[in-house]
Amino acid sequence: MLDLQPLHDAILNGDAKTAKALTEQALAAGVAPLKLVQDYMVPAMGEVGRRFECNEYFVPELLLAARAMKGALELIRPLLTASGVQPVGRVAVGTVKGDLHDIGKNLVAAMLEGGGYEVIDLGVNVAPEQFVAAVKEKHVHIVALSALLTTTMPSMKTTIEALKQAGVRDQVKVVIGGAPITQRYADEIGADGYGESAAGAVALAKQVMG
Amino acid sequence: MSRQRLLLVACRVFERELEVLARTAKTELQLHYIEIALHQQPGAQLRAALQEEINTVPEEDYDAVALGYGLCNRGLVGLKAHGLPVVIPRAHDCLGILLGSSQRYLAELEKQPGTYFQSCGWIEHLPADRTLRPLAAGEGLSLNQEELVARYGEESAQFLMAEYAKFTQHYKRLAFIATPVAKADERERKAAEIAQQQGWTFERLPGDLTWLQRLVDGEWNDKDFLVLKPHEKVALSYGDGLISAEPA
Repeated sequence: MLDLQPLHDAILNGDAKTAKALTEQALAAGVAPLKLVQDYMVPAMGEVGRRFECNEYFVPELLLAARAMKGALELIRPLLTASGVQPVGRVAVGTVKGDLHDIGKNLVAAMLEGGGYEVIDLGVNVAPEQFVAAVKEKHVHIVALSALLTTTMPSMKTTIEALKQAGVRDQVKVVIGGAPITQRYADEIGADGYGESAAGAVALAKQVMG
Repeated sequence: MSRQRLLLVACRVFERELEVLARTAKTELQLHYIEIALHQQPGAQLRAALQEEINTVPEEDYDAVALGYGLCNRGLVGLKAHGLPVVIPRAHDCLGILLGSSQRYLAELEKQPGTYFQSCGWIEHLPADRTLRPLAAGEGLSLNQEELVARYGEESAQFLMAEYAKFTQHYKRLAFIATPVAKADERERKAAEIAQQQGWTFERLPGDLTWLQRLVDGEWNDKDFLVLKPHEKVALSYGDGLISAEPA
């Protein structure tokens, strides 16, 4: 039996090369792709998140772990699709109108992909109408809004209002995050969830989807 | 009537502007600076440094403490007044203060969301390698290439530098907030140089020091300033006032 703990550790340590090599080995040895994701990659990213929250890890470690995970995931994803494994959910992510800072948003996208979600990345400076369109046309389950600055966070409120006006607010969960954001702000603008860090994105997505 | 005795604890980014304003201040003004570097750290560190300042002010020597800071992301949230009132501009950050109003700052951002602002203070304190950093950088994002190599190894450091470089990829304009201080022309030239290197347009925005002036003069209207009474703390208000006072 192949010991796959090193795959977990390679992702945790942000070692992209080793993570990729071990994934190739495991797949060649016939390990089920979904097992790799669920038993090793998701827990590794969970541990990354835990370390980030207690200040053992910082943004560089998150970026490196996400890169290692994405490398492994690229090998696995085609196999999952071929075997008909459905994504856990579909999430539209973007930085809100006026905000061009996407390091955090990109990390959230990587975490969610690693957690088995299909991510529709709307990019930066995303107008409320574009989020509305994603809900209507792509049937996303979750809209994830990011803002880095206090100058742009009011766009989160206008985005939620736009979803209401378009009559689609009930069809989707809205989660928000970014440096200036708090749970209190999320409550105030009627978001369904608040993520303190990118590292907790998967747990938050699971929580709001119920 | 004797003049109000004011201790202004300010970010060093305002040093040159405050030098000028202090000469004619209507208060009996004492200035104390905190290094810009703290701004680059997560909010908790800036807040801790400011709280320490507030807690250790010799209270019999002053009538009030003023902070030469904006909200600075969330850096000031939770800050508590001790025995003296604490005055804080209701500003997002230093850029709005130097532009004279949040209204003007937000209008400039609306005009071009991809604006990287600079001022004399920012240019004066650029890191030696002149790398631009995100405004709200966290631990690890302020490391230079050499430090990244030492911590993460050559290959990972290269990947990280490339990731960091991406943070400027969406910027289109460098706006230099010009204030009437020493060496302003030299700083402006340097800012224009950076814009050219980055491939951004360059724009000179005349600064407006009236907000900062009112801070040092003790003219604190409720619209532009929050005055914390002793034993109150700063909370986010999310409305027009940006920040509000709460019982500590």
